[in-house]
Amino acid sequence: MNVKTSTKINTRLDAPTCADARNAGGAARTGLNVERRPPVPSVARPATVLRAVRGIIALIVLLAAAVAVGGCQGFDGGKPSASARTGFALGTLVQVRAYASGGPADEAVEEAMARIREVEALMSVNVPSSDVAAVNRESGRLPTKVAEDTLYVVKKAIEYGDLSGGKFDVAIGPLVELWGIGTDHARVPAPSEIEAAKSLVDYRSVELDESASTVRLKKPGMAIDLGAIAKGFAADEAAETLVKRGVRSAFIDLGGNILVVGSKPDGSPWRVGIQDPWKERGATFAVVPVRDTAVVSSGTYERFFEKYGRRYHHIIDPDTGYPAETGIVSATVLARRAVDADALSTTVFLLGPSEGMKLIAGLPGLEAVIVTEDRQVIASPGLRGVIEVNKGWAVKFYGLENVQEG
Amino acid sequence: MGLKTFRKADLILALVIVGAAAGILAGRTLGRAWQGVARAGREVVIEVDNRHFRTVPFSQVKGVATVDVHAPGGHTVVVEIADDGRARVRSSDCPDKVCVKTGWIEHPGEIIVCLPNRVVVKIQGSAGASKPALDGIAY
Repeated sequence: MNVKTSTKINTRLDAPTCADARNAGGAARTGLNVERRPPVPSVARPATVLRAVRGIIALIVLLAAAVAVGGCQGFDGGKPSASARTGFALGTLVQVRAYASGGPADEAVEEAMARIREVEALMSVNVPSSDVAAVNRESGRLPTKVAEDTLYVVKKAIEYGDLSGGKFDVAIGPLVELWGIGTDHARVPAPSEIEAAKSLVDYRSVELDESASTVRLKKPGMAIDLGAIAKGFAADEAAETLVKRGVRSAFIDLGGNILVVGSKPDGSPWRVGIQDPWKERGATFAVVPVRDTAVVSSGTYERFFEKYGRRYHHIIDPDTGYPAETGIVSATVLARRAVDADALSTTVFLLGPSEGMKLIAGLPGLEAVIVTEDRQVIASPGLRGVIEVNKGWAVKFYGLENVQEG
Repeated sequence: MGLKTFRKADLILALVIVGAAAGILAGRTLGRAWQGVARAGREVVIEVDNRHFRTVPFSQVKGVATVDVHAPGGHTVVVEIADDGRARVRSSDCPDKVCVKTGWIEHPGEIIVCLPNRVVVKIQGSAGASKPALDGIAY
């Protein structure tokens, strides 16, 4: 069968560049390209002339290196030109910023935006002509022929269903529709309605036929919803489009689902902030410096409505039929590919702090940051020395004793 | 020890330090000058429903300019542009008012979004020498 494995986001060129030279020392232990701060060198106390001379030589070397790095920045084949585009797709704001050394990347960015719209046209529940809408209309009836992209994403979603013990359920559609959170018909449904919708939610009743490229929902009234994974897929596809067009450095933002390609044009890592769950949009509590990495958050603050003095958020637990209450207010996952980061941020949220962290620890190349209702921050151990938290915040690392304060 | 320790290496070191210092100083001065020039070249770009609506260079604004943005479905978003290089959404007839709550933006790359009305307000232009603390936010 035809599983897509081509969504590589590695933009490294074969020839070593200035950026490579600077990055060489910062190899990360994890599969992820997170920026680890070098250990602080202890201050030498030269007791002998020999040591002093050594110190002077070291200083000269350091200064020479600094000058070389500076020179590198200034003459790295001319200043890479930035191309940026914004637009609305997949129910959110999309921003693509790309840098190419050969000249403007306008065309590449345009193509990437077009690719994102393609994904929207296939996978949005709200587009009547989409694959997803067609599959849902045919629920309980015949298999529906879908595009290769759709088949891939549904298959991925089912994999995450298995991985999460059914918490991540691609067939969540009836519950999402019932609650209507984020729409103008949001309401608290009656328990009987929730029970009825819940009985239709089961990803194991989604049948894939890979050779025929069809999807079929076994029970009438079932509905799939790719809202927790399609944006990630679209980001990966946009990145691949850019890389194919020679872009080595890009920042892709699909409504807060971030995917960075390579490093910043100056060779330093991209600095991605993580939303403070209790503050206005744009206020952050932490920063992760990353290269070639997706950073995706799921939180109660994203979409919600308030009723009877309670907040009902948009991440529905398929087991209860109600917004998930796991003690988490925000779960952020870092992964090489945005499709994984997207699906896993929702999965970790639904699993709760302890099960969520266990899942992340058991999978290669992943990192996570969880914020709990009582303002605790738990990060995966691979982020030690990487994540920078603001003043007033402290991070505990899962499985470690260390606490890092901002 | 004594004078003997003042060798060629020390001379080179001294030269390197002086050279580096001069370089940094020159770079900073140039950077600051460039920032001023950059701000002068900045502009506010307003987009509606994935289409360009209007571009307003700050140099063309005296005091505070107001732009009524006509969004799909007869909705209106009012944008204010100040000549000191800032912009904001003053009012919008959307339900959640995220755009209004965003407040003023002033740095190139900063953006205000009204998702329900599909309006984007952003600042374009060279970032100058000042480096933004963040490249983006996961939310």
